[in-house]
Amino acid sequence: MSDLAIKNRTAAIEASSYEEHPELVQQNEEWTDLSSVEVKLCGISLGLGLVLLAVFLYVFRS
Amino acid sequence: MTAEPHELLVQKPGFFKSEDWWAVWLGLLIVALGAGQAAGVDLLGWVAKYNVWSDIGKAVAPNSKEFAFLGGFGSMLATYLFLLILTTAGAYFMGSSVKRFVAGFTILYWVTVAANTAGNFAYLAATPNNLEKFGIGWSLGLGELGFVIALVLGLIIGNFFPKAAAFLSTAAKPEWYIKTGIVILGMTIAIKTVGAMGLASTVIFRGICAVVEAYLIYWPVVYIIARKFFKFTPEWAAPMASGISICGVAAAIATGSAIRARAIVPTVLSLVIIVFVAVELLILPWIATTFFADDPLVAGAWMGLAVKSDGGAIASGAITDSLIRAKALAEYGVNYQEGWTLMAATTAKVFIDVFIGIWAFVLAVVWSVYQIGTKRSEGKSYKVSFREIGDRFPKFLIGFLVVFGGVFLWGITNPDIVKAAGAGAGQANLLRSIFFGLCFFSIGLITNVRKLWAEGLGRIVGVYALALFGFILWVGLGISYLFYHGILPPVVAS
Repeated sequence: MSDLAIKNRTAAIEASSYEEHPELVQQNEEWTDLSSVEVKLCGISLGLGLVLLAVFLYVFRS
Repeated sequence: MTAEPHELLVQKPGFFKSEDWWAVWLGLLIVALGAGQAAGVDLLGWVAKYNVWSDIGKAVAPNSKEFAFLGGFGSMLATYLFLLILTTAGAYFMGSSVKRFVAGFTILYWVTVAANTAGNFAYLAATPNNLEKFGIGWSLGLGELGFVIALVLGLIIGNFFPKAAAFLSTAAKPEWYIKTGIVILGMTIAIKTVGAMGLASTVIFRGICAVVEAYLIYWPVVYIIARKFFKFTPEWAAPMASGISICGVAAAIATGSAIRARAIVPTVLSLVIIVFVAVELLILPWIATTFFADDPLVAGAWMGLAVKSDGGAIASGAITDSLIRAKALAEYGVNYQEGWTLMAATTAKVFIDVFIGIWAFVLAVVWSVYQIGTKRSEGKSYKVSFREIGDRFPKFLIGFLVVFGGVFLWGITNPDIVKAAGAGAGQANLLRSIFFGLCFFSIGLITNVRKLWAEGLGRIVGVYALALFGFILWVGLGISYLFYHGILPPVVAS
């Protein structure tokens, strides 16, 4: 068996022995897409961050 | 295989039952002993001081000439007994097995001593201006490598000698040790602030701004990555965003608590966070030193914003401080005063911890009002408990602020005591350094890389790696650069 084949086989064995944590598997069934509230929360946080960045830089440079 | 609850999740309430409060008590006691210098009493002169050495006989000595009779080994032994008594008292009240703690702490302490001593070997640590003093022709000039050696030793034991790691686990308490160190650090920072008010207030103010910035930008991006691309529910994504984006285990737990996630969520996340902290600790200080030796505060703030635990961030700040000072002296002939890079990292981390409480409260309100989540919360509302959020507030910060505020006010109103208090802070700092060393070794001990695979946490590792290397490091660096570029520590005569 070539080195590459051995590597591939080892990788396949390792991949097959990997089992995701049961709590993570369970939460897959509960997943739904981002709600509008979550999008709004992220948008406000990011927006505020960028606005404050501009404000801080202005204050520090002036 | 199941993950055990993180120690922060099982902490008992009460002034003598949690690591946080014991960090406050130990820190306050050591600061009080150091402050004895201002009253003309040398209460910590016997503490071991580690020197850069080419002759092993000069590697360790008592820090005060009055205690020279102890010799190097005597001072190490006295320091050991002092710390053993204090930490064992804490471990007893926190419910640990005293026998196991004493045995574990003894090994931790002497391994840390060995790592400190090895890291100070002149060929590794001597700066170019001191080569002649040590009678050597060259040195790697890496500053004090003891912390890194302690971390690597811990990693080796933690990953290859699981039985030994399990035996030492009772005493391997990285968060306790680093928090005690941070409370003690409050004294040094206060003295520095009194001595260089303008610079210190700039570092502190910009640190607050940097933290607010980083948190507001990091959190939503990690949250969206976790929710949208890795298909996590809000119950997992919110603690993950807090843990990955800013402040590791403590933030994941505070957020989990705020949104009423099950305890298993932050517990599982903590396994991943701890491993990444060790990786960052081994890599980032060297990158920061390579590119920002001429801008030390940028490097320090970056460590504070990028490394995801109190222990990891402050520890990497300490390494960066040491490496940058050595490099700046070697390459530019500039001898920066010790501790300012560490102060930038500490300031960022301290305010992050404060901000966690605010952010957890915001999330608690949003989750409660809008019922974000899956079937767990459908149709059920819950009250936002100020008490619960207060319970999760990191108490060691109270110790840090009390020490900082107290010593600062003392120094401002009594300029005559500043020099003596500075000497006391220096003595307390020697114990702080040992607590940091204990923390590094403990981080290594509890970092089990293989466990991530065994636990099936690949997807969380994916979010973490993508978020960290994809933007957190670079956004944190950008903010640090924009806010701290060109602000330099004081220079001392070499």
